[in-house]
Amino acid sequence: MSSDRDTLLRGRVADICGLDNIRDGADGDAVGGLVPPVVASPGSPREVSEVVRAVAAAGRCLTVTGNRTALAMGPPPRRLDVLLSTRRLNRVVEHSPGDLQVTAEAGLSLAELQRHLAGHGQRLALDVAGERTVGGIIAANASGPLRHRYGSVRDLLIGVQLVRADGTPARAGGKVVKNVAGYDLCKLMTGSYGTLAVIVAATFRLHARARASQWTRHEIDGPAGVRAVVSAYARARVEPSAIELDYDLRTGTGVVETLMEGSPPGVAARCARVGDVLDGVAVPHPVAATEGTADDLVLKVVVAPAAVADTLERFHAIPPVAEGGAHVSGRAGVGVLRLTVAAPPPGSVPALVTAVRAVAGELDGSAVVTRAPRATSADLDVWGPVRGLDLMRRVKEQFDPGGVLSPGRFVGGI
Amino acid sequence: MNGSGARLDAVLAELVPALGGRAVLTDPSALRAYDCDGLTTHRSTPAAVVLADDADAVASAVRACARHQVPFVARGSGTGLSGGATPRADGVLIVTTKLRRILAIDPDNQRAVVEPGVINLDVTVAATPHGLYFAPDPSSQSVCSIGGNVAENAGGAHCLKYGFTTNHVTGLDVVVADGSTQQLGGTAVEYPGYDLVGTFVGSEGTLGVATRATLRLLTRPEAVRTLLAAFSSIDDAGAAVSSIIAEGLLPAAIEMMDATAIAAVEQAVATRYPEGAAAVLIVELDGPAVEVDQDTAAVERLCREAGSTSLHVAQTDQERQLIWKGRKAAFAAVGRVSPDYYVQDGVIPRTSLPEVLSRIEELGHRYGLRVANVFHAGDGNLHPLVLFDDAVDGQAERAEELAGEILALCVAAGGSITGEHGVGLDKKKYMPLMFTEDDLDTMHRVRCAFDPSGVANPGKLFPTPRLCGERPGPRRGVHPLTEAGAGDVF
Repeated sequence: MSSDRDTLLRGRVADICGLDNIRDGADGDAVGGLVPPVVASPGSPREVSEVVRAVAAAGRCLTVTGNRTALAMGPPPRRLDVLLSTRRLNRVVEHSPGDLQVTAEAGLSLAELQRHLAGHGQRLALDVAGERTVGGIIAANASGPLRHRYGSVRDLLIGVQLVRADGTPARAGGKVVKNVAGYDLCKLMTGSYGTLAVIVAATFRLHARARASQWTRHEIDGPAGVRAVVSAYARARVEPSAIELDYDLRTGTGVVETLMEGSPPGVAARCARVGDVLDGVAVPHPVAATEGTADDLVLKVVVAPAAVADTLERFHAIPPVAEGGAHVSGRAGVGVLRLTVAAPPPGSVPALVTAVRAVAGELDGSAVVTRAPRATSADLDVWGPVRGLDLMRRVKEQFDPGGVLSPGRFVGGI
Repeated sequence: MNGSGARLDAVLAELVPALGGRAVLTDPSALRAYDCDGLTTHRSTPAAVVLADDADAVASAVRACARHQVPFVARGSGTGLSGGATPRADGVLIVTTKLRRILAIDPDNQRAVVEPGVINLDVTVAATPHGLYFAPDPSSQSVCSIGGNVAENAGGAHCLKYGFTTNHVTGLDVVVADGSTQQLGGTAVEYPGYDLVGTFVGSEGTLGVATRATLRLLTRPEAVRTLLAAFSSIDDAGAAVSSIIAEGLLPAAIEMMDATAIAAVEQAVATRYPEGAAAVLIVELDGPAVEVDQDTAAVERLCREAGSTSLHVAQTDQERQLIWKGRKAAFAAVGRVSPDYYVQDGVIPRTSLPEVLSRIEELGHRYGLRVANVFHAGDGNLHPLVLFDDAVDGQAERAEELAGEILALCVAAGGSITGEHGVGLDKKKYMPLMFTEDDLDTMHRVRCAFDPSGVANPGKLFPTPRLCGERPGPRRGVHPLTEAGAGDVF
């Protein structure tokens, strides 16, 4: 490979972004062990477009990142020349409180956006933990407890501005919630992990902040406990905003914590109604998710909404999961879970993943490895089986025929 | 053998033996019954109609069309209002109305699995014994089919709170344009890979034909209150809508009708809407009883503060049904007071409602045509009905021109040319108001992935015909990486 070409590309990217906004990659910038020669931080959508165009024209590859929280996810790219950081794209572009919509640049952190919106009594109904950027949340389809009531990114994103793999800027959707003009590329971008286009800005529908809210903690013993809590809430028709599980597979105990939101008397009345049929205590906030260590195996396990208790039962029946110190947390009412197995022997990881995947498959779901222990073999199948993979390859071929954007990081080697 | 007639003959030669003669219509008088959908101003008799009995028949028909490069159009109940199911004279119309089995109601997971010909309302009827319902409720819900809802991403009055069809579909079996069947999504809320379910919903039949859908069902809310408020001006009604939203309330629906629409509805269904009102608002609140009562009181107060001249909260289910009957019958009612009308589906940011409505009124005066307004005020989705008489020379053209100006107004205000009816044939020429050539090219890449030869519902959605294939760009041919042997760029 000609290093002249790389030198020229670096010079070009420096011209576009300014010398202060490009630097050599370091170990901390590695994507799946691959250290990028260049880290570039363009400061405007136009600069993003020019950087992508330059990288594509040089026949090189780039990976996009926001706050790097999802970079450990997925296999390493087949090639990495430029790590494109969106952190300088951090403006609230437009907020129209009366229309309950906001447009933000991709590198803005969700926390900053929420602070801005809170000043107007509004919020984006996405409560993803950690310092995540707007663009990163869309690309990784990240969600939090509020998913129970408000859905995920796909239900809140109404417009997107992107830069295609050849550098062409394009938009889809718009600024109004109700809009069926053209294909819904917002959905296509959601969860695409930066493999189809670079997201530079996004428009979301907003909700009013709740006037009152209350978390309630219910202790549970065994998988049946989850079932009991979830169905009690459903029967009471009290419309909780969140139902969160935190369960220790070794002890078979845990908690289900729920969030009730609304008017002060409404929240009180609904909590009281649940209190009549279920023991629980009011808590200021839910238990913090266990962060774990770099030696843990972490999977995102998504199953049919009512299959959470079944999932736990089946995990109990996998000895290396149940006995090795494992933990399940997540959305008990919609079936989006996180399984953390504490520091399994690296050699056992593929078999563990296969066993977990079999459970998810039986419950019409999936299991994706979001973090593998450091010493795990590079051949680990991170994504597992994928429905519609052939069509997905065709979509990738149309959007990024040259394989510029994170080649090899996504499902089926996309 | 290249003529479209010969290609069509080749398709029929395959399909008649495979599906049976009764499933393949070619008799001109039978075909004429299918010459339009709900947009009756666009008509075209299909060359053949396939009445599919099952998903395999759909796949056979699509495969035959793909093999012989004959365009096909899928059609459900044919209630669409944008010409999405208008047939092609040189193509096959694949009708899915016989695929009407509800395959499963799964109360635990709150899902229904249905075939595309199932009527929207029938899903709710089947789910009702479990205390569940299917939220998308287009006005035509007693006749429109799920396949059409999926194709058009149908909305309805209650999408203000509950979203559109796309928010209520978790899985699809899709026959793509090469005739292969792909299972996308399922019971769970997400699957690894691109969200092709979300991409397919609303694609207006241009990516393939859905043969099975997994739908989300919602729990019936504990309480529902429906309120009818009259106003002496549209501006006052608009101000009430703004203050309801500003208060942080999220009603299930906020609908508005103007005087012309009210008069038409009154004549048709005698709903007893307040006489002499310049506008009525229908506000529906649902959820836990405590909050619904509280929020209803708040809405009443806000309507009064905005100058409401009369307020009524439905006391019985019958009263509630009657209020809705007027709203849902509005299009048909206008059809009775005017020889012809043209419905539009523009969307505006809610805050520009008063300004855009007064501009529409001005436009009506300028064109010498009456415009009735019936709309989903909560989400800014306008349905201006331009009244005209096709028997009067040039009026139809003027009506369409006026409707076009209304859409331009909506886009200029930051809105959209269509909120729920789809682009179809009707609005494709307005797509460039909203999207650049590059935006449209980006969308078209999705189409090329699903239907590279362009046989699925061609001539819809995109303003100009497009082909898939080579296009200019910074890189063509073999990727330099592949050339260098560095990696396989699939």
